[in-house]
Amino acid sequence: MMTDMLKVTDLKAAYGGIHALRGVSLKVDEGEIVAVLGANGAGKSTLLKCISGVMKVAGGSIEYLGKPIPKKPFEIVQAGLVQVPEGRQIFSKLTVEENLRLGAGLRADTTGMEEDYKRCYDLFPRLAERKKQYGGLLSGGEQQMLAIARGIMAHPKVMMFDEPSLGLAPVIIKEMFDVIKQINEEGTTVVLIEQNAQLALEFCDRAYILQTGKIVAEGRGEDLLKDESMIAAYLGE
Amino acid sequence: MFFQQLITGISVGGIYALLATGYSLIYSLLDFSNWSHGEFAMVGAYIAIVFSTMLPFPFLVAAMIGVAGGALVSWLTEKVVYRRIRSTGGPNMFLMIGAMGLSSVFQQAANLIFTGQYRSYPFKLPVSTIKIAGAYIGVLDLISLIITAIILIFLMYIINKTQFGLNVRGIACNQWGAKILGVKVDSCISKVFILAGCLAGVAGILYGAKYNVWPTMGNIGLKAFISSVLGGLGSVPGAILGAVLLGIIETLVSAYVSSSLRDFFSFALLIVILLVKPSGLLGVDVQDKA
Repeated sequence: MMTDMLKVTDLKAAYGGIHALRGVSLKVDEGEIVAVLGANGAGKSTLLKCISGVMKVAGGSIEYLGKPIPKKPFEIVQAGLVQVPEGRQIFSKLTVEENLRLGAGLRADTTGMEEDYKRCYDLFPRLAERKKQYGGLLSGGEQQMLAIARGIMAHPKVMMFDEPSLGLAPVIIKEMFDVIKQINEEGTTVVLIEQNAQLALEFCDRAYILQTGKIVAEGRGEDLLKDESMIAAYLGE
Repeated sequence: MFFQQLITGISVGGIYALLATGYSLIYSLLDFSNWSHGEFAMVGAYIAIVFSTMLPFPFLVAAMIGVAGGALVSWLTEKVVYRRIRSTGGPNMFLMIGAMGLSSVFQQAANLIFTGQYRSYPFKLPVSTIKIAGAYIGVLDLISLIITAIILIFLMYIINKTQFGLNVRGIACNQWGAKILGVKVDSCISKVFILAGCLAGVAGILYGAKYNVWPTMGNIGLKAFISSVLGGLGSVPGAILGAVLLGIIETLVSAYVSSSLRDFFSFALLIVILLVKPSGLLGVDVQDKA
């Protein structure tokens, strides 16, 4: 039987008086790739911020592995939930290697860390070539690779990707999604936030569609993909 | 003569560097000019006075208590004032104004407790000299130089080689990104205030040993500011370079031009740097904060 890796129930959040999430419920099973789709401003990033502990929750609950999720961002990372944030958030004045070391900052298992460095450089040979370069000097695609690799260094059980395709060339996007697939096949559960619905639905196991802070549809990726009227209505394509 | 002045200059610069590095670290993390930074030096210097002249402690013990006191006060300002101002989400200007207020509070408090009288530590080091390569070098200058060099090397090691240092540089570069990755941002900031307070405490005691201790001696914080701007705001190696250069320039001006023009030159230099190269000597511009 599968475990509930992550379970969000009736989650509410607001910026000032503006409601960004109005009771969102979803669950993610171990080993799944779950996509959360929606137009700009639907509340996708807010959802991830709440899960990562960097935004105050106004109501509802988030459970991780059957227990309420820890409160502080570092406790959440330590528990195995890591976000690869929107806009990559690279440390531009640190080298590639230092960016990775920062991602592993909460770990004590030296051997596991060495293995993960190797794994990152195997996944992204281009980062290996640029170990000593400043993060700010990398191209957009390389920065996205670095953001993903940095997440891997925290040795997560669940990795949450916020718009990994944003601003990248199609060929790089494909490369990025191949890597996410590989990370998933190696045992990490994936939550994927995307605006590019077509791409994400083809890629995920299940998907939720978010509109102005509410879940309006959910189902298997391939089923949702066939429902053209739904895509037209909620995702504006 | 010139060699002698140079050693004095580097030694004074070292004291500025102890202040400038802490000031620069705080600036790099929180993006505000900590105008109360020099007061931690004053607090450390006075605590060492209390323990070495009013209470029967050996000077070294008193100095260590003074350094710890500087660190404690620095940490308290973060805990009680700056963190609260940050949590209101107001502009960084509030932090700077808060720092100015704190600076006045500390100076006035010192004036009330200790009066404006100049005080000195119970030893005669300031007047002894030794002869090196034909020049008379102040023993105090040499001791100060050695202590400063050891501390600054240790500091550079912490910043560049430890996980804590990496976390600090990460926060300086992108606080939000660091937080998301699980860096304990508030705890790192507190530790930096403690570290900066220790450095300031050492600076205050060394400065006090050279020039006495008085309530407004914390104004050397301004020299830390000039040093940091000269070297590149927010850069630790820049702060050290700027401080040593400033120390040498001040000493040479005092010796060969006029000691009353010393501060005139320092502040003129500040204005020139701000006009000509505001990023400072070592200000790296890889990419601004995202």
